Formats: sequence, structure tokens, C-alpha cells
Amino acid sequence: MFSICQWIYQTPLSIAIRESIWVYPILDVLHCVGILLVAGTIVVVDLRLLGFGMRRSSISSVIGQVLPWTLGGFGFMFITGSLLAWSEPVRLYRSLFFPWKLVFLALAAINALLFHYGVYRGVRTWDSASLTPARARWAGAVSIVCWICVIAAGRAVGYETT
Amino acid sequence: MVEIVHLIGMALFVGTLLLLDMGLLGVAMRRQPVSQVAAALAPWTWGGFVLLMLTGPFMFAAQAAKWHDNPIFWIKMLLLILATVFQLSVRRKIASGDPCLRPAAAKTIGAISLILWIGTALSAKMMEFV
Repeated sequence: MFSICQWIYQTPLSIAIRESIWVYPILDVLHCVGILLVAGTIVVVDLRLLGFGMRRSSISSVIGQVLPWTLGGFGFMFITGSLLAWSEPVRLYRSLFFPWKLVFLALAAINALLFHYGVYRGVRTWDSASLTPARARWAGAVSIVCWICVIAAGRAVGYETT
Repeated sequence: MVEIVHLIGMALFVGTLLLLDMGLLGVAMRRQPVSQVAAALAPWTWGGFVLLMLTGPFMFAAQAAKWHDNPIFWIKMLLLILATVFQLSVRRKIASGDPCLRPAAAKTIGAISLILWIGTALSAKMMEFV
């Protein structure tokens, strides 16, 4: 793994991002402000699953309206994050918090997939129910916890440079 | 630690406000009236705002000398005040229901709100670079 990080460190792309005055800060700002755009869409769906907020709208209606933005935002975060990571692979390899960020990202993704291909497939039966099924509520709660951990770990990684 | 709560507050506040502004702009949340989106999300938006307002002063206290000398911090404070005043003044218009709100007015409100709040968040981030 370490040798892969060293190899990445020496690629032209990695060097270019690191040595440019503007590219890294711009990626950094985009990635950090991008959190706000993605987190809101995710949090609204999770809260709705837990039964808080947008209750007059059915679950599928909330998810349907928000999903394109969540997916687009996630793609944006993934690209900016990957470019940031590509520029300093060795530091991230040695980081205490970056692995945790990845772990929670993976958990969040698995949770989302399990939800969408699991209990969500039968959404028509509980779309407007006053109480969403337990599995849907768990998915919402796990999602919130995972994303808070991703953000916290990410912020910790930011402090590790200084 | 305080900063993480601040970030969570930011995600809650700007995130829910963003959906409202997108509704006003007409680019998202179109299946229900904007006033309904506003009413439904309001407690979370307020909650996020409270988290931000509670943690902010603590963060300032920890870094007061440094931040006091940072011009970007004062820009952030200015934007914050402008954004808050603007948001409070248009609240009633948004919540009262759509018939009174012409589409052009709604879009303007949404756009200004977005610009002011994203500007606040952006200047917060830019503080690091000065």
C-alpha cells in the first residue's frame, strides 16, 4: 500500500496539484463548501425516514426530488476529494483519521445501497405511513451517524497538516 | 470538538436552507408549495442556526487575537449580519403562501439568500488562507 502511495506521489497529476498555488486551495474550498450542498439533501431524506420534517410529502416524493442533487453532489465531492487525496497520498497514508473517514464513507454507502435495494423497494406500501418501517428508520439513523463521522474525520485530517 | 458541532450546525442550517432556496428558485422541490417546504424544514434550519450561534462565540474566544486581525473574519461577520437580516425580513413572505409571491420575487429572494449564506460559509473557509 505504501509503495502505491509513493508511486501516486510521483505522478505528474499529484505534483501539479501540490505545486500549484491555486489548485489545491480551490479544491479544498470546493470540497469543504460542497459538504453543505450534499449534507442538506442527505439530512432531509434521513430526517424524513425518521419521521421528522416534510411529513406531508411521501417518502418517495422527498427522495425523488432530492436524489439527483445528492448523487450529483456526491460525485462532486468524490472528484474533489479524490484529487485532493491524489496530491498527498503519503501524508494520508500516515494519517490517523483518514482511514476512519474512508471506513465511514464505505459504511454510509453500504447503508444507502442496502436501503435502496432492500426496504425501499416496497416503498409503495409504506410511502405515506405515519410510521416508517423500522428498517427505514434505522437506515436514516445510521446514515446521519455515518455522515457526521465522515465530516468529523475529514475535519481532523485537515488539522493534521498544521 | 466545538468546531465539529459548528460544522454539523452548518450542514443542517445551510443544507435545509439550500433546499428552500432551490424551491424558491424553482430548480428543485417543485412538487409541493414552497411555504410547505419552508414550514417543514424550519425547525431544522433554526436548530442548525442555534448550533452555529452557540459554537461560534466559543471558537472566536479561542482564537480572538488571530481572528480579530484577520480581515476575512470581519467580512464573514458582515455577510452573516446581512444574511440574517435578509432572511428574517423575508421569512413571513415565504411562509405566508405562494399566491402573494410572484415567481420573479421568489427567485430573487432565493438567489439573494443563497448568495449571502454561501458567501458567509465561503469567507469562513477563506479565513484559513490569510
